[in-house]
Amino acid sequence: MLGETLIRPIRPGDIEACGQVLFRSFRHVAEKHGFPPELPSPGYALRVTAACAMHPDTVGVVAELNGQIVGSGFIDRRDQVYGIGPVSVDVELQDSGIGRRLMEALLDKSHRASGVRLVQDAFNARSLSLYASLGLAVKQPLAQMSGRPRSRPASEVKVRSMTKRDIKACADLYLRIHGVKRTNETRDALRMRSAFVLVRQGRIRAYTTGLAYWGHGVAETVSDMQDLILAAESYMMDPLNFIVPLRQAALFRWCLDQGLRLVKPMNLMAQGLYQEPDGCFFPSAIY
Amino acid sequence: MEAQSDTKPRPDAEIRIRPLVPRDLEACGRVQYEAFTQVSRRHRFPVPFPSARSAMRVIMAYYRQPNQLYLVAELDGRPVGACVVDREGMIRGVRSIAVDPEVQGLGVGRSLVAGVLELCRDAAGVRLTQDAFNLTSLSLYASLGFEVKEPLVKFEGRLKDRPRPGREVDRLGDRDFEACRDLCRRVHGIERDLELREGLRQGSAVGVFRDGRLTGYASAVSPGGYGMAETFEDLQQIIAFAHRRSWEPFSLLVPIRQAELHRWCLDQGLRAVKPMALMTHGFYQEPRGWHFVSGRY
Repeated sequence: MLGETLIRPIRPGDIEACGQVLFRSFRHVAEKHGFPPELPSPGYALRVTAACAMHPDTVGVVAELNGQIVGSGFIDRRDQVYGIGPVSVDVELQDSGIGRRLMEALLDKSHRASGVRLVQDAFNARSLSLYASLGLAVKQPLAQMSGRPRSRPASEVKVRSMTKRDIKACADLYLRIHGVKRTNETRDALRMRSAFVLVRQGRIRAYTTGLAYWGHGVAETVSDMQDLILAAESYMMDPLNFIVPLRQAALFRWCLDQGLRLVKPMNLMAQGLYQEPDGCFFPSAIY
Repeated sequence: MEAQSDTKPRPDAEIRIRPLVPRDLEACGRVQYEAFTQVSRRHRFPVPFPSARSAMRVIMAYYRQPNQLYLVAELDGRPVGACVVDREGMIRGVRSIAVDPEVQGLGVGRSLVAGVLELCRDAAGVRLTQDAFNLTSLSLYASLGFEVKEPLVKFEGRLKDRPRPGREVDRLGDRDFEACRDLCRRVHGIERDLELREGLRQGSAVGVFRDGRLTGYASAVSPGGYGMAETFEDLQQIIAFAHRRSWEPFSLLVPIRQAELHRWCLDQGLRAVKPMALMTHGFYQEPRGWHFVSGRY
């Protein structure tokens, strides 16, 4: 017999248990559908959980049942649009309504946001249905892609690390393409040293906070995005691993031509303010 | 089935694309069954054909239709791939593209789809639906110029509320053909006669009339048909009408960027069976109305 599930704010002492639940549940769903797990190890899941739990602008909630942590969820409130994720419920308790209660608790914390967004695995019919029934709409079919591109960066293209002085121009570019601001997240990326900008005729035409699962990017044109990806990749130790919107057919086809491998199908979902992007973009695993 | 290394075709083996002949039926039934079973099982989604024999019966049904062309890919003289393509229409639909799992990776699928595009070069476009979990087919079609336009979910079940259709909705007859064409032109910018004629002939075509004007129709409310309407309410009417005329569970391919329709299907207790995608090659117009798609497009 199940006891009463308590939904409450996360505490530092919950992080380890949350990491374990996150790792188990994500692996379970991915392996069930024949896709690689998003989090490669319990240690990695723990680091993700800790990073979310410790971030001053991210709010975390946990589900507790009979004194045990059985689920958690996070909402990133750094910018005008809030991003939800990761949300996880322990394997044996999926379908018990805990995911819905976690999501409702997170959505409750978004009253001041212009909108809420998230990215989910398209093969996960349960989460797709849950989020849709809570009012999030599918906006973009996506695919996670990884690998090393075949081409080398063009020598005439100027791509360099993002600096503090670029933040305003990057924020303006994001605003032009998506109609919302994402300044604080971009500023955070400076600390990770993963952010790059593409400069042409003295102006920033494209930027990325990181060509990684947690990074996003925007560009005025597809060819700017391609140049940015090739140049930024040449500075990276690890292969590319990022999320491509499939409706951006030219970018998607270019990624395939470059020999990048499809990892899994995903969806970007949104509630509230949403504008069809007026330019080239790729989302992070949050939005 | 275990692949035998000595029967494996050479990578340089010749691939030939040709129309199906009756003696291919058994081999093609097996290819369809094996290909879809393998990928669906790997990703734990329902298998579309219960047996090779049932796949063969579906192929026979297509083969008998004069407006469908069944193509076979032959590798060293052996049928190893197959698909069905519309012989007519402004936009041609392709279905059931399958390659024998034993020869995947040798370019059979690529030759087959390239053959379809060659065959349809006089059409304004070619479209298909694919299983979103099938990354091999997604990258194959994309690399041949197909573009993902709509994420879809295949829904199945019965409508919980058993909604009562209004008096504005009715079965369509031949006299409604032109009004349907006009609406399709407005919503999708194309003419789509093939399935509409099928729907009118089979009695599955349904329409909504407001002030004597057709504001929505479906060639059939099933993956065998497509539907469109000016408003969400009109599309609901069409689905409700078809639902009321049958006791069977029905299924529908829903473009889920239409959030209200997606949520309505969930609220009605329909089950999400699998994620899919609509892909197009050539002409495409963003729909100016509400719609659901057929297995073709």
